[in-house]
Amino acid sequence: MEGEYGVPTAPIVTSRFADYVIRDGQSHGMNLRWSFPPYPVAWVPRETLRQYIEGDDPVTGVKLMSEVIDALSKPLTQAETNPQIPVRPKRPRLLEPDTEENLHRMFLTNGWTDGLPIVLPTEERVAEMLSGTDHDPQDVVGRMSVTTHEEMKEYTVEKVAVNAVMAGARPEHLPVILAIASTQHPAMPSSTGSYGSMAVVNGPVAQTIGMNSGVGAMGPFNYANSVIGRAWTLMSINFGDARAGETFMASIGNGLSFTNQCCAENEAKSPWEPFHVRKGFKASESTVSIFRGWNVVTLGLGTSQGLLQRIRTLDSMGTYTFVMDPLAVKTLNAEGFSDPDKLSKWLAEKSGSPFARPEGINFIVVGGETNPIVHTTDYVHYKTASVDKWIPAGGIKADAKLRMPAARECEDGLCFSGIASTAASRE
Amino acid sequence: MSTSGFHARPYLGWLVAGAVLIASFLGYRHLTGPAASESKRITVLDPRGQPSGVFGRRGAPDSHMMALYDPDTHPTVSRDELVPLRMAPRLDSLDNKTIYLVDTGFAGGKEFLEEMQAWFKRNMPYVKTVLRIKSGTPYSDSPELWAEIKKNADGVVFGVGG
Repeated sequence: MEGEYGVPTAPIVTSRFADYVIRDGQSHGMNLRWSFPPYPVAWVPRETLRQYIEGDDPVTGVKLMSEVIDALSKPLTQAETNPQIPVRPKRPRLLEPDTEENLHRMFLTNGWTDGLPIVLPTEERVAEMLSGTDHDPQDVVGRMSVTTHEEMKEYTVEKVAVNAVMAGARPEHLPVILAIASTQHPAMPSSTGSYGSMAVVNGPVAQTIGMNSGVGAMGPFNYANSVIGRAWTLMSINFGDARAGETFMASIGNGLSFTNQCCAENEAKSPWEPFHVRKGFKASESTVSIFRGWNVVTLGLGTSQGLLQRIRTLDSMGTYTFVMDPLAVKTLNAEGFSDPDKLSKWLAEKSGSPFARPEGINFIVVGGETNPIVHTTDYVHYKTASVDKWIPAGGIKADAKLRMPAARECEDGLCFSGIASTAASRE
Repeated sequence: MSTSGFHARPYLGWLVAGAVLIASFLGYRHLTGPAASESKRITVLDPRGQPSGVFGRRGAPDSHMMALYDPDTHPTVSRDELVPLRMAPRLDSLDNKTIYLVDTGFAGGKEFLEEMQAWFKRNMPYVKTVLRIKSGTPYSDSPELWAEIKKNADGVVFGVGG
């Protein structure tokens, strides 16, 4: 309006977002004349809105309507007449040398971590991590922002390796972490509704690096699942520039963001084609699929009518991803849904939702067959990225001994007799 | 027995005491070892991404709101294309002017602007206000409305973001 159409403008944003919009505007070379009423303006009585309008802007202390009138009629200042677009300086590759303790403090207090202890990315550790791929360390992988408008941050293979080291990962995990980075999706985009994300690995790499797709796959019981998911969070902080209350405005936040429900699909137990095959990849290829949404509703049991009921009750924009135990899938298979695409189509037709589309309804098979459990989510499947392109020509050199205890499989109680000795060996 | 033996060989006591001292010293060294290494300065790599010179921008008029959250569809603009915003000339006053109040689509915006319209009627009745609800999403372009504003309005109030 201001520049292209020549019409003076008075933009209004609630005072909670004052810092966000001022900084965002200035980084684009816009010195807009904002007014900031108190918040919230949604779902409050009319009387409250009237008081906001007749009262002061809590940021400036000036009468709100005086600001609005001034925004349209007060002569422009020199700064407003000649706005500048600031150029942010490039960051150094290496930080100033310091003691371990001071560096840990610096990473923590600068907001470069998730608050949990990290492994410091020394040159030696990063060099070792880079042995997990053949790509040039300075190759650009992508750019990312947790906001929709702020300047994105670019990152190289080496920067990804740095964050992988911080997460506690090993070189064998790097190809999957690079594949996630290549999607350019932050795990935590800045939505006041607090996004949750999910990364699901398919193909041979899951077994090579010892990922869990069975009992407790999304819980804290597997090294690869944990550090890969955590690396995604650290990349979202350091590449996406997530700063709570500044660039990141999720009102409540999301506990899933620590490791982002990272797991492998249980291809061995699923009667369906693996997810990545349904998205056009070969079964022999390794991939990671990225999902994101707001809602996760647990403890449903898997029947087609059960899925339909949850679609009808979940507040969604028409997208659903069901995370299903293999037993639930076998139930659906027995009902005649041997093809998940057929089930997606059936659910979209029966849902009654004007937004539901078959391609927006997805299924992931995860779990250890302790019950036919289904997690219903409103997650969107955004992308499935190749892991293979990041694997070194010589293959992944995995440390097969560096594993957490594998989830015990006790089908039909056949391992019951081994319980005592196993429990004793773990104490 | 041992006590009497100790008395019988007092030099052994000194030997034991000396051994304890040496062990203590070695133990101290062991304990202070990590502290000494903690004071050693090390070099680490910067974990932060580099400024890319690429910014997000508003979506096309018919774009889905979630398009901004997908890097494959997120519209962007480079620093080279970005032009600092030239502000429009301001009005001398609002007397007898037409001001558009545009609801950008966030919850509560319409109600807020209706109250603002009522405020103008009560306090500045000589200002004509026109309330419009922007089409599309809060993040998408609305060229038809912009053209209408250019034709009919002297100024615009946009709200309420948040």
